[in-house]
Amino acid sequence: MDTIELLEQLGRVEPADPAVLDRTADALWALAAAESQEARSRASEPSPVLRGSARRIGVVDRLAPTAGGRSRRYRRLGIGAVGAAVVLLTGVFLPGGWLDRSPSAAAATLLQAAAAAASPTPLPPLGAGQYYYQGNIEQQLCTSPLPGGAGVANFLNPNTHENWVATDGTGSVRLVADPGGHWLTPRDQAKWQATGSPNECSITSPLLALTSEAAILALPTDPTVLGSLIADGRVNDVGQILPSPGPCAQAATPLNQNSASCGINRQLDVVNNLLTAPMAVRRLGAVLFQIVAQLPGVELIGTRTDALGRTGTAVENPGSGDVLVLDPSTGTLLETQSLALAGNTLGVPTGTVVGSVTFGPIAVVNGLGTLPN
Amino acid sequence: MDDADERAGTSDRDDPAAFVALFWRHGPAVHAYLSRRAGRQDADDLLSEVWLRAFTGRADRRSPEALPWLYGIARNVLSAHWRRQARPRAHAELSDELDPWADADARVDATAQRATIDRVLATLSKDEREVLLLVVWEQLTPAEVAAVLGLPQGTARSRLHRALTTLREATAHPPVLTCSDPMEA
Repeated sequence: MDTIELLEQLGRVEPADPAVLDRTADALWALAAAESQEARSRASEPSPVLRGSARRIGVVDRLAPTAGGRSRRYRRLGIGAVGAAVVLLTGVFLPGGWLDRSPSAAAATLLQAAAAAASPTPLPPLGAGQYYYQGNIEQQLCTSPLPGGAGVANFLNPNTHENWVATDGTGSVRLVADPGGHWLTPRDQAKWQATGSPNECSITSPLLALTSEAAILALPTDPTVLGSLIADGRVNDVGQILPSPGPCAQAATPLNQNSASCGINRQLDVVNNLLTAPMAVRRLGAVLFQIVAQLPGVELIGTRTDALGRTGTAVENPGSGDVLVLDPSTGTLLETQSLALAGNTLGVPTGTVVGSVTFGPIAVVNGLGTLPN
Repeated sequence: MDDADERAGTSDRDDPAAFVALFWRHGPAVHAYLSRRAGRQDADDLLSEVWLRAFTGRADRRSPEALPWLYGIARNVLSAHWRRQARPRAHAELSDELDPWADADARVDATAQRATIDRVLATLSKDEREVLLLVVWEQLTPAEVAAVLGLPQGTARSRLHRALTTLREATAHPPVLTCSDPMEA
């Protein structure tokens, strides 16, 4: 081996932890949002202000570079090399206004009822080589960058995230592209067709390693303790407890009105990400519902039917458009949704669903890649 | 943001959201740059600092390509980090200056390879080492190296040329190692 080869070998380092990248991205989003807000203020434009944030929709939570050089967004469950192009963009927010609202008593009551009903029901034990399987249907807003500086085209892209998880939270995940989907607006479709119809949104993957849920499974189950950690920015999107507050607690921005704690939007982001962990939600679901019940501004918005045809009751954080659809009788989280807010730049009416994750039932299967009967 | 946008550097300067896309495109590479030179833990800590500096200074970007500009910021952040820490370095004479080899050296295990690479790299100047490692580790062209270090392109090329020449000579003429067999004594 020559010297250059030795040097190259020395230069090989482990890829960055996704949680580390997420923290930096969150800080940049906060700065970007603050800058947009400031620019609007200077121009004396009225609210609402574009949040412009790549938000987490279910388990999809980060952009990563690809060989093709495009910025792409992948789910958080350990996928580093899926050849899929998605920049998830949702919504806008109304800075300030929603923070003044009192917590909705109706929403809090629903969430507390769901928390009480969600008392951990033991899953059937696993035999040798067996896994818990959960297939989650995701509708992702795929924002496909168009060639020639033609901007982007938004497509609501369906796929199934198949999870195989062991009791310790390790396992595998596979993405399967589902038929269907639709352009968000006719204008998106026209732009896409005019630029050669690049196929950027289809997601199919082999079995990939699942980011372990071990950190989430180790989180405290006292809602006051966990709620404080989340509010202080000490819990990241994969459930790790940080030794010091994360970026959202370090700067006051429109997304984070109080420099001493993370804003409600960010807290709900963290809760949403924790809720997508198939095993952890069994242990922490009730705790997380209680935490959401304490967040100011969360409102009851009535009944919703999820992508599997199940009916539940929904609560929304109007500041971010995040919706949780719950079955209060069983405490089951049926679906999370992201709604377009007033003044959004996507060209869709307020309240349009621009992303969702529908949580399928959990079954025991006889190995990785095996589907339930 | 496509390649043309990035080369022009317009989207991420004018559009804060596009800048975040730039992060997802180059964040892992910048982390690797930091990790190679300062170790993974410090890289985790310094990554945000690099990107927040880049965000606030993006209007001043001169480099048409984003990555060399980002490496330049990362280099400055590393330099400040080391000054703050006043950490002991493997090469004491370089303790107050940025030398990427100083930390990488500590990662080489104690084998014959370490002796080889230590000996060869010790024949290079700090400046030559830095150019060489940007080319070998970061896969930059001499022009991009020049952008990172704020050098004329010719200077970067000549440093790389000297480094490679020195490496070839050092490899071709290794020092003679002598050892005695106690059984022959």
